[in-house]
Order: sequence, then structure tokens, then C-alpha cells
Amino acid sequence: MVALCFVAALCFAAALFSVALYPVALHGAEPTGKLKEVLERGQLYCGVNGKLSGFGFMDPQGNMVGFDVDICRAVAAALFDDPAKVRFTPLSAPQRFTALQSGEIDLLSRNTTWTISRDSRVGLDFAPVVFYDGQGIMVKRELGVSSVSELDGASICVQTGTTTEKNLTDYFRNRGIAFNPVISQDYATSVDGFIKDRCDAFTTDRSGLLATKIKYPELADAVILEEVMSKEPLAPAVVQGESQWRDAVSWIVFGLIQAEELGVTRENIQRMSGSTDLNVRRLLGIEDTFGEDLGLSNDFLARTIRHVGNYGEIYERHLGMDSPFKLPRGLNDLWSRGGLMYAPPFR
Amino acid sequence: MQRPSASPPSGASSLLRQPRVLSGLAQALFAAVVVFAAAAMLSNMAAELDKRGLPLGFGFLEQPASFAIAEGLLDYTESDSYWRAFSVGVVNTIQVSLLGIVLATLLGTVIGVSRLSTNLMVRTLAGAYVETVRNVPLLVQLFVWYTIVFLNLPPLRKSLALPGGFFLNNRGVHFPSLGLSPDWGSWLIGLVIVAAFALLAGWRVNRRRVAEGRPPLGLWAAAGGLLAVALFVTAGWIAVGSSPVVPDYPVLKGFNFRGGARVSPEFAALLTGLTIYTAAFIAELVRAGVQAVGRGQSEAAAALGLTRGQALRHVILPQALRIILPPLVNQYLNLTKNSSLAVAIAFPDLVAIGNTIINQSGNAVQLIVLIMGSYLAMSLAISFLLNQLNKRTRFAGQ
Repeated sequence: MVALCFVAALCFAAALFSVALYPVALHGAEPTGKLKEVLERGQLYCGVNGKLSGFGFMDPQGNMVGFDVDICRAVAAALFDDPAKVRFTPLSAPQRFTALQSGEIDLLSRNTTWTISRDSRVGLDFAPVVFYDGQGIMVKRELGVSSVSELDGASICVQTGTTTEKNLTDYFRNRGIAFNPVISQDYATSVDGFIKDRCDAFTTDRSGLLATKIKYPELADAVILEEVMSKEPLAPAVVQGESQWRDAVSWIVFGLIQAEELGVTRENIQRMSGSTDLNVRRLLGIEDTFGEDLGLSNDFLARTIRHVGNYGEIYERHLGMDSPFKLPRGLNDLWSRGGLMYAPPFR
Repeated sequence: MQRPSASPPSGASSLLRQPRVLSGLAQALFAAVVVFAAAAMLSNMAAELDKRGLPLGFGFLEQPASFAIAEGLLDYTESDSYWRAFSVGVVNTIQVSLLGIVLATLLGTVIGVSRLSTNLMVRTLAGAYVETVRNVPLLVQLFVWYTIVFLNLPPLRKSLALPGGFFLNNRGVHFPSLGLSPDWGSWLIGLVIVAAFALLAGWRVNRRRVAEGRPPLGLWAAAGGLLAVALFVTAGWIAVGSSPVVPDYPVLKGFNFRGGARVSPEFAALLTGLTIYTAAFIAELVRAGVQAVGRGQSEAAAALGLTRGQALRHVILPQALRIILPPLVNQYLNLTKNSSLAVAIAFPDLVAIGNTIINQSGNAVQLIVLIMGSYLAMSLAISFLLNQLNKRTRFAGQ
């Protein structure tokens, strides 16, 4: 009888104890693994392109700028409240995955297509898509070609280690068109071959074609063919098996999209902090503890938007109307305006 | 006589004082450190790969490669396996290395001998060549050959038409190839029979000459054999009315030349760069080898009435060869390994294709092992062959 009472008391005590602990477990996940490593280091190691204008390249002042670069800065701003706490590593297409696997970089933001093999075999995990692209082909005007099917037997300059290389092969094989690939490791070598007529055509993602066309005056007359040869959802990647780190990066990206949807910008964030809209208050970390639950600070998205701006601002700055490219939003517009940019709810 | 006061040295410390034991212990310790370090690295790598769910096996090489390769001696289509793609790269590397070795040796010998010429201009030019080429990094030279020389040839539609059906443009050198005629089988049988007769005749003539104490015929016999083959082909051609081979001329059609054969600018640039660079080093070896042959040798040859050319061919070079051969192996190995710089100028050698496979499959470790193994095998094969040659050219008893 006494023994039974004792066991019951013990059970009750245990239950009480776990209830008491419950809110603690709910609030403030302890950063572990990669996230802890990055936070303790106080600097984000980010792999970028370095040569692709619009996405990641060195400006004349020696600063790394571009759309992908700003994704790195957004993450750094969320973690350290300082978008400058990033060390950029320019990577070629073949180097990028090894750099991530070996831990040389924490985050790969280098116009990288999300594919099933990279998500599994190559050992990456992807954050949400930041740019929907598709592969295209560019030819010189004097060739008088208006469609890919007229390119039978043509030499095509392509970069190795990209999805482009495989897509090109698939696309031509499916249509029974012959071609000669000229495969370079380096983007600049590839473009050079096209300019000097080593190849009849140059292929990469359509945004990349446009960037190339604007960067090289010799190509001002080149024509980007109508066909979109593939789906190229470009997304930031982290190493496989670091789910807390991946969650943090993912929700920083979602936050950029959500901020645009809610109309929170770099300019009006101060005023928006006083908003009574619950969605805005949750996004900026005034209500609830979503930041702490991710192992970050509650105002992580407020920091990001204050320093870097929302998704639309980043886009317009580097690719859209405020840039030389004047690239329409298209698929990269918000879902509410007919695009594909959609963030899950912040609840 | 014994020393009563001193206690006998204990067993362990006396052992430690023996040089053999000591050096054995040091070696064992060193080996243990090496083994431990290697094991630590391997297990660390395995653990990290395992953490990321990346397998360590070679099974993935059976999967279809599905990327295109620009050129290669082996037949390859996109649906072939990664293995096949990698083999294409290996064969391409072997091809460019072997051709490079042959050409660099020829050019290097000519330049090396020229450096010792009595003609001031020849000597100075050869010296300038060696000093310039040897002191500029190979990678820079490859870029110059590829982007400044070969890519700046006229574009396709403004090809330079050379005599004999040759076309030169920045897609490469196009030239007529020789296809076999439909009745090539009977031609081959005839050729084999003629060649066998020629060899037999040459052998018998030489045996008789040796028996009579006269020197055997070398070049003359070879020339005679070739003459016999040429006579046979001409006679057959006239009799049958068709040649054993039919030339296939390149013709500009659509985006490219069709027919004929082609050397791509990438291959040409790599081969030119490797040949010219390595030839500069070989030239120095040849020069040093010739100079190392005693002055008395050339004086004796001159006293015997040999011309300078004869002295070089029969007296100096054979002796110089013994000195040149061992360091020459190094140059051949360097050339083979330097061919991996192909990656910079878009030639699909084994490193370039290996890199592509790493990217498509994500199995970096396995591919690096394969690439290392391939170079090791090629280098060991070259060393082995040349060491055999070295043994044969050594002085007896040396």
C-alpha cells in the first residue's frame, strides 16, 4: 500500500516536472551543429559566382555585388545584425559542391539549380527557390537562325559541371539534332569561344545569357532564341544533414518573400514596427518567438529587411528595373500577382 | 678481468645503445606515425561522408553518363556509362601524351644539337628558344596557344583553303582522310605477303653479309622493303583499276565541315604547348649529354676521317644517349602529368571528364582516386619501358 502510494507520488512529481519544463523546451531552441558553428564564428562563409553580373560579381570598387550575393548578406544580417559579416568565396561550377561538402563554405548562393540528384547523391540540402530560370541558347545575328531546330550540326559552347551541360545533351538528343559540344571549365573561356566564333551558339540559363549579352559589347547584336529548354529553379544550398541550419536559411528566404507580400520595405520598416497587423508583428518578431524557436533572435527578419530589403527590393536592385538588365519579374513575381514566389505562413 | 664495482648494465638500456636496435625503433615509430595519420584521415573522411549520406563505392560508375564529350578516339554516346566516359578521357590523355613525347623528343634533340652548332645564328636562336620557353609557365603558354593563336584563326566561313584539300579555321584543321576501299581485304592479304617476302629477303641478305664480314644493311634494306611494297601497290592499282584506299575530302556543309578528318583547336593547342615546353628541357638534356662525351671522342672521330654529321650519329649521340636517358624519363613523366592542364583549354582529358563526373554524380573521393590511379599507372608504365631501354644501352659492367 505504502509502496503504491510512493509510486503514485513519484509519477505525479515526474508529470509536474515535465509540465514545468515544457515551455522551456518550446521557447528558444539551443543552436547546434552548423548553426552554432556559424554563430560562434561571427561570420558567414558564403560561396558565390564572382563572374556573373547581376547574380554575383566584383564591382569596380572591389565589392561583391548581385542578387545571389544579397541572399548571403540577408542571412548574415539575420544572424549578426550586420550584412558585412560575410566572407565571399568565388567558386567555379565544378568547385562549388566540394566546397560545401568539405565545409569550406556554410552556404552556397551561386545560381545553382535544385535537382533530385543534387539533393540526394551530391549531398546537398536546398533552401527555397529564389529565382526561377530556364536554359536558353544565344546565337549571333548574322547566322540567321531563329529556332533551335535549325542548329543541326552546330558547335555549342557550354560550361562543365552545370545542369546546362546535361540539358543540352538531352534536349538535342530528344529532337534528333546533332551538335558538337565545346566544353569549358570556365565561364570566361566559354564566352570567349563564342565571341571568336569557335562556337555557333552559347548556352546557359536565360538570365545568364542576358547578363553575358550586356557585359560584353561584342555580343550586343546576339539573339537569344525563343525556346526555353529546361526548368532551372535556382536555390541556395547547404550541406545535407544540418536541418537546423537549413531551417534557418529557409525561413530567412521565406521572410524576404513574406515581407514583400506584406509591403514591409527597407524604408518603411521603422513605421511598420508600430503596425497593429498581426502578420507584420509576427514577421518582425514583435509577437511570438519564431526566431528563438529556430535558434536565432526574434527580430531576425527585422534585421534582414532593415539592412538588405525585401525580396522585391533585392530583385529590382540587381536584375529588375533598377539594373541594366530590366528583367521583368515573370515567374519570379509574388503568387498574388501571377508569379511563383510563395512563402508558407508565419504562424 | 672484471670491474667489480660497476654494476652490469641492465638489459634494456644496453639494447638501446645498439645502433641497429635504435634505428629499427626509430623506423618503427615513424611507420606507426604514418599509419596512424593515414588511418585517422581515412576514418575521418569515411565518417564525414557517412554523416552526409554519401556512399563510398564504385557502383555509380555503371550509371549512364548522359553528358556529351567533345572528342575522343573511343566511340562514345551520351547513353554510355560513367566508366566509358572516363575511359574516353584516359585514352585522350594517352593519345596526347604519346604524341607529345615523340614530337618533343624530336624537336628537343634538334634544338639541343643546334645549341652546340658552330654557326653563331643557329646557336643563338636555339639558346633564345630554350631560355624563353623554359622560363614561362606552361599554363600561360597553353592560354597563349589556345586563345591567341588557335582561336584567332579565321572563322569557319572564312576558312583558309590550303592545297591538298586542307582547311584551316578556328574550329581546327580539316584534312582529307583515307577510307578503306570495299575490297580492302584482298589488298591487305597481298600486302602481308609482299611484306613477308621483303623481310625474309632482307634477313637472308644481311645474314650473308655478316658471314662475309661486311656490315649489315640498315637503311638500305628498309628502303628496299618500302620500294617493294610501293611497286606492289602500283602494279595492283594498274591491274585492278582501283586503289586500296579512297580519300574522303572535307566539305563545308551547314554549320561544319562534313567528311575528312579534323584536329580540334583544343587538341592542337595542348599538343603544341606540351611539345614546345618539354622540348626546351629535352634540348638541355641533349646538350648536356653531348657535352659530357669526352672531347677525345670527337677528335678521334675526326682523325678517322668521319664528317661532323657522321661523328655525331655514330660516335657522340650513342654515348650521349646513356647519359640522357635517365633524366629523359623525368621529362616524359612531366609531359604526361602536365597534360592535365588540358582542363584549362577545354580539351576533354581524363581530369576534365573526371571533374564533370564528380559534378554530375557527387562522388568526388572515388573519382580523385581513379584519376590518381590512372596517372600512377601511366607514369609507372613509362618508367618501366624506359628503364628496360636504359638497361640495354648501358655499358657492360656499368
